[in-house]
Amino acid sequence: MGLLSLFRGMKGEKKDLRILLLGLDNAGKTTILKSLADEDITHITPTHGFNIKSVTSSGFKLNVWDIGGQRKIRPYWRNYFDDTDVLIYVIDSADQKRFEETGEELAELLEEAKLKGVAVLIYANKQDLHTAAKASDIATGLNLHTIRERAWQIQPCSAVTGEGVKDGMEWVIKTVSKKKKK
Amino acid sequence: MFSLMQNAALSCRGTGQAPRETKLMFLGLDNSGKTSLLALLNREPLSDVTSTIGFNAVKLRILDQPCEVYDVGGNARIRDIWPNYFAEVHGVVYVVDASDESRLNEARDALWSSLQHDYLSGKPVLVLVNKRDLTGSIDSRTIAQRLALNQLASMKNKSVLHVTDCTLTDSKRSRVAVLDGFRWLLQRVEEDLEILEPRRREQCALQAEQEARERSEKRERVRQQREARARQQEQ
Ligand SMILES: Nc1nc2c(ncn2[C@@H]2O[C@H](COP(=O)(O)OP(=O)(O)OP(=O)(O)O)[C@@H](O)[C@H]2O)c(=O)[nH]1
Ligand SMILES: Nc1nc2c(ncn2[C@@H]2O[C@H](COP(=O)(O)OP(=O)(O)OP(=O)(O)O)[C@@H](O)[C@H]2O)c(=O)[nH]1
Ligand SMILES: [Mg+2]
Ligand SMILES: [Mg+2]
Repeated sequence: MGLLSLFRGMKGEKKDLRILLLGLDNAGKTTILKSLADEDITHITPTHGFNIKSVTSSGFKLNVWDIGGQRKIRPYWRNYFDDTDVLIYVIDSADQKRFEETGEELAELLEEAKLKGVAVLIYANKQDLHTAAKASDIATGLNLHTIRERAWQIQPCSAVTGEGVKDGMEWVIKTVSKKKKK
Repeated sequence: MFSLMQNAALSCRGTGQAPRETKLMFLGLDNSGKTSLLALLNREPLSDVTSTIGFNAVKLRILDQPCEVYDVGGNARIRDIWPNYFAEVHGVVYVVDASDESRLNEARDALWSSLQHDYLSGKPVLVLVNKRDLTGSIDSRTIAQRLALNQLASMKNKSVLHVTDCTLTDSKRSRVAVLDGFRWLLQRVEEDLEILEPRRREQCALQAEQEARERSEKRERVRQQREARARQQEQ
């Protein structure tokens, strides 16, 4: 899948990536993180603080920080911005009522100096729920089309079935390793 | 607001002094080869390319000309975002998969609707008839007919079009053929610059204004939603 050649290109370079997992409450961040680590996803409760997990993928150690998304916790997101390699922003694709709210939170994140130029992967989660929106509607709802100074990619996925979750990570690794080479 | 203004400034960067940057956009259906083309120009391994459901901007020199290329996803689920970038670009590369006869009508429609857009009409277009290495792939003459390029070139506000066969592989030969196409495109942009540049500036300003308006309306709606939810929770 080409990842091997990337891996070779990274010889001797730092292979630890710091990944920030953000998004509104109930988007599915913790479920995605558990699914990535192949852990049980049946008893997940809203996150009040944060979870960190290290997942190994294609020779990279991904240190993923999953932070609670409830409105009263969101002001604390900024404590985690330092040294972020990639921002992963999770949305509930079936919850169209909240697209603008989640878009506004994302827009504020993208204005943060510490996240300048950091690539964004949008996990369009809960695709198993047939009311999931199409990518261009998500892009518009989240104002992604006004972004110029960084790469973004929408990855449709379902944390419950696991579909698409690993594909998103592949994009993350590829995008970051390209940037680090420069 | 701050970031919006910054965006607007960014979008129209290169309009002042300093070495001018040519802005190009790669269009075409999913799987046609846009990201592979960018990898080839950027001397990256073509094997690392995966499908784009988003946006990437790359600054690079093409034939010594500083350029910025926008590469977007071509899938029908994401194609609606294309027009958001039309105002900013000087020219377009439209990539067609010549080995996929079944999608030529779709490729024609996507090209036509793009070129009929106010912000794109009249800008030069390089049509790359790609994947010519594959047996049974269709030659550029036939593709030109199937995309109805003649009719397109004779419309009001017509764009100048240049069609060429290509194959995207890591080989030098492939690079040379592709660069020939870009030579035409960049020259054309240069020749038309006096018309293209003021128009581009004006359209960028219009678009920035519209985006700013939409953003502030959106903000207001979100604020109201949040307040409504807070009230609900109090009750
Ligand atoms: N149908 C479906 N439900 C999902 C999916 N992913 C998560 N959920 C459910 O959505 C709810 C919220 O998931 P969490 O992982 O706790 O969400 P979170 O983003 O971590 O939420 P906070 O910790 O509050 O920020 C849970 O009931 C999950 O089972 C999915 O892909 N499909
Ligand atoms: N045989 C052959 N395959 C090609 C050629 N150009 C591209 N491909 C293959 O076509 C597939 C799609 O290429 P991409 O560059 O991802 O296409 P894209 O236009 O960026 O597609 P989206 O990102 O989905 O819009 C890849 O598997 C490429 O390896 C070519 O000239 N010949
Ligand atoms: Mg959580
Ligand atoms: Mg692509």
